[in-house]
Amino acid sequence: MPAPTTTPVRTPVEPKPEERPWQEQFTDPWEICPQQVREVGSPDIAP
Amino acid sequence: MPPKTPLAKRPVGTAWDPKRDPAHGRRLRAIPALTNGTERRVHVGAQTLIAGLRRSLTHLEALRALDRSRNLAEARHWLDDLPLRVHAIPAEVERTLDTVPEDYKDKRDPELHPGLQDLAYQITWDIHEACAAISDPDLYLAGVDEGIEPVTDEHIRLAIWGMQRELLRELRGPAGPAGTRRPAVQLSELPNHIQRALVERRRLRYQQWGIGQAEWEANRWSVWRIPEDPDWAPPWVPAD
Repeated sequence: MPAPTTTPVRTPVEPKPEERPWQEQFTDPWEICPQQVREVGSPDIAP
Repeated sequence: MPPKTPLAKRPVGTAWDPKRDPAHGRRLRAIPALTNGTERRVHVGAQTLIAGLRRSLTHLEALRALDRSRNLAEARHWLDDLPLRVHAIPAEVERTLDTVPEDYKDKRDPELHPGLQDLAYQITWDIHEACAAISDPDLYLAGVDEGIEPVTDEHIRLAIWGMQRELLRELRGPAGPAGTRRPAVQLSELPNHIQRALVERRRLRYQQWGIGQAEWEANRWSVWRIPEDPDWAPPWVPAD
């Protein structure tokens, strides 16, 4: 009779904030919509 | 998914998503936002440009016709003299800033003309790349050593502030109740050399779309000053 197998239980380790990719902490500017992206271009300020 | 037919061969008036479409051609990519059409006519802005067509014109055919046809001089001129800034409040269009205002409360800022959507995406893509420095303090972001006027420290502060305005308003995050949105990145907290590279790139990007100090002061831009750059592809769209 085969020995029963068990699945090891792993407790998820929460990464420290400084180890998280920045997109998990902040809004990625790349996610905002086309009209707001045109505002980010800030054409009232010289190139 | 972007259409498989290249933009150059797609009829004027078909769907266009510059954020996801890998179409090549810096000038050509400005055309979809400036034209519309049906099988028998093409509009540029509010005008009917070409009527009585036997078939739909492709974007490249429309661009060539606009560039060369004697009959289209009026539309060609219209594309040569477009406003750079657009604002929901028309009186605000001419307002510019040369220092960071102390008490800025506007809820809506001027935006680039819709025909300059690629320029807007390019600037925002540069910001996206610069933000990698938040997770990786050793990130190297190339600035611009040649081909632009040097940027001053004061201009860096102003341009960073200008780009930050909209990022503070437009927050995204996981779906759910209000309050789960992620905060905005703080561009002024990026390393100084990253901020400098970002503002140098911004100046270069405007120049790459044919806009320098004179065009900015006049609040005008021209399709014909965007280099054709037929092989240019948007770096924000992954290559197949």
